[in-house]
Amino acid sequence: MIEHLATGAGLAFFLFGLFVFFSAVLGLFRFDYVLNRMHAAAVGDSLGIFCVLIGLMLLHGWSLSAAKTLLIFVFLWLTSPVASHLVAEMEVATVPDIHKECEVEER
Amino acid sequence: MFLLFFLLWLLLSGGVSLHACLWGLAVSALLTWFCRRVLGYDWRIFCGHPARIWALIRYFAHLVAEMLKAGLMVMKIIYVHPKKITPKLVWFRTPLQTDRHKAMLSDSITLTAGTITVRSQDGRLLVHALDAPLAEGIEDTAFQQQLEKMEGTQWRR
Repeated sequence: MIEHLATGAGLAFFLFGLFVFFSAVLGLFRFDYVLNRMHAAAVGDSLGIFCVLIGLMLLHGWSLSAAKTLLIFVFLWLTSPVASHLVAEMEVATVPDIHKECEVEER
Repeated sequence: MFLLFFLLWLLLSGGVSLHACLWGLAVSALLTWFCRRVLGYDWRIFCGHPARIWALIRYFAHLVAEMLKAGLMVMKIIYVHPKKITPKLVWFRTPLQTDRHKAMLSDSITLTAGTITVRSQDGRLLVHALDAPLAEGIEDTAFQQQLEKMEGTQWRR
């Protein structure tokens, strides 16, 4: 019974994760500026990866591969903010009139 | 740090055999030496007071919850009104002192979809927010308050 429940929950997580990735790709097309598009990609990085990997862990059960999946979480979530930060910094540093693209506020 | 490398080695090699353990011990010792001497890493990060480790666990649980919430919010923006957003770049001053905590704060901000840390300069952070409501209260988030508490306990030690 519990196995069936875990399989069902795993499938649900996995399919929702795929839907999140679809939304992220759709967002890449719907937004119109590089910094906005990065947010759409970030949805896939955080929510999408979380749902897909949790789904895989539930489908496989607690095993060595599940532990390795946890490692994938750690490494992805350590590296992805660094990469997006670098892309964003490069964009802001190289565009001279960033004020035209979005409002800049000092707090 | 040695223990961390050794556990990682065992996890990746996929079993506990004498062969794997011996190679693991050798490689972990070499890597620990390299990290401490050449890269200058501080191994004490990992073996602090139990209260600090508990605070870190609570912080990461809160981070995951915020990441999921923010992901759903950005998904809603993608489907409902992708053209009516008002993106914003916000400079704000962070009270955090140490580089480690500043890096944790900016990584957390970047990991939550909808906000990306662009630059860190003289104790100030530049954050890009996808929509104006996402930037509200960015200068005093729960992440920052938790990190401030963690930094406070570190200074006292």
